[in-house]
Amino acid sequence: MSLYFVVPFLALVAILQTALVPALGVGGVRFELMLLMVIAWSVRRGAVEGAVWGFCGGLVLDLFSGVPMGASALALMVVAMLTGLAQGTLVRSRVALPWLMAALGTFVYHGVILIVLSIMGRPVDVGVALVRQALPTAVYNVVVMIAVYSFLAWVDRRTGEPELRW
Amino acid sequence: MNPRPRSSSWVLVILVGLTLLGLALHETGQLKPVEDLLMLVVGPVQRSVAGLVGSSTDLAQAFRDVRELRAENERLEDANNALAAENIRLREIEAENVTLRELLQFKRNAPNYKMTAAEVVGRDPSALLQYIIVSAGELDGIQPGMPVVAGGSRLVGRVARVYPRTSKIQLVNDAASSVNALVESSRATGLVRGQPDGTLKMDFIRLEEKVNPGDIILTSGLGGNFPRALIIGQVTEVDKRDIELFQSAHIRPAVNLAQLEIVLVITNFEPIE
Repeated sequence: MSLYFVVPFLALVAILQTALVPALGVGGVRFELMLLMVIAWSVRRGAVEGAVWGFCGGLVLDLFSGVPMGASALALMVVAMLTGLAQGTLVRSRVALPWLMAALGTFVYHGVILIVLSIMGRPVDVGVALVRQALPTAVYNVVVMIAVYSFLAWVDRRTGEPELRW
Repeated sequence: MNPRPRSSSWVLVILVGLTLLGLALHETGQLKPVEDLLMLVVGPVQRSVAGLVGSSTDLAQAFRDVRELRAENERLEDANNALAAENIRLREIEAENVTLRELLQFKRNAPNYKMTAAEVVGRDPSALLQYIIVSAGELDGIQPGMPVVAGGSRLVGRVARVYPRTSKIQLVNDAASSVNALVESSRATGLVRGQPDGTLKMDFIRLEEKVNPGDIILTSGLGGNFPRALIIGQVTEVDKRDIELFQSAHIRPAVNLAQLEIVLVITNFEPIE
């Protein structure tokens, strides 16, 4: 898929995550649309394309966030790489991988951002962040992954290009 | 001589005679057994036929009714949808009206403040931070550090970053936010800080000071980051141990920070950094 399409598409995803997703929160818990997009695309097209999505999407996301610029991009790229790694080694099934990574990836994503925030001198509580925020978010992410993966699988079939064009 | 008309006449005469006889017998009641017998045979058939006819008539009527009911139902559904949409719109206007009234009231009560209203257009995508994005930016006179309030002089937070047409606001319950505060009733001072779980806590209240659940917490103005006397929230619980130097209080924010729609940025307050 061309980057000319990817960047505006991920910008739209970031806007949806900041403007629409909060309204779909359940008991204050929100799903993470960009994270799910990156995981799903990594499963479909491999770690490299997933990482490119993570980089572009993370930077746009950071524009809307209080986290230091690049924190989300870094966290999303790590998740994309791990997804690619898991696909090649741990999990052979393409069916189970998106859901497994939606759960694990949430903790990795939050963990990386926590590390960045901590390095930047911001007060963080790892226990609260992982148990009270990442855990319910992971559950919500697994549920929403059904729709996200189906959508991106459809996009993947429609575009059907083997490599990302620069 | 033609015999045909003659025999026909006889047939007619007989038939008329039989008819008249039948009438006479019927009138005198002599024909009743025969009538009963005939009705015994014909009655059920008639009822069946009548039933069929009735059913078909009812069916036709039912079809007509269904068609009419369907059309009526569609009309009512359209009307219902229109009314529901109108109702939602009016409820939205009512809610907005309440918010704007509160903001206007605050503006009237605090004539010294110059304020810019801004709509909340987004929330921080990370659950670890408490930021919002509002629809006013540098071009509207917004600068980093400016205090942000909701109606009724309730503190929301402060401007963290400014873009030409939007701004990022750090909410008062963000883990990196701290505000010098005092207890309205006892004038005890402390520091209200956001917690990692998004709640508010007032720390560094001296042990001998009186703080009780229900007390109102205001900005003290110390430090020069916020104007004084903005409402931060209300004490819900006090943590006090005699072995410690300070006590702390859990605060419920004065405004529902998760459901902000419109905020006011105080543009003529210059924070001391």
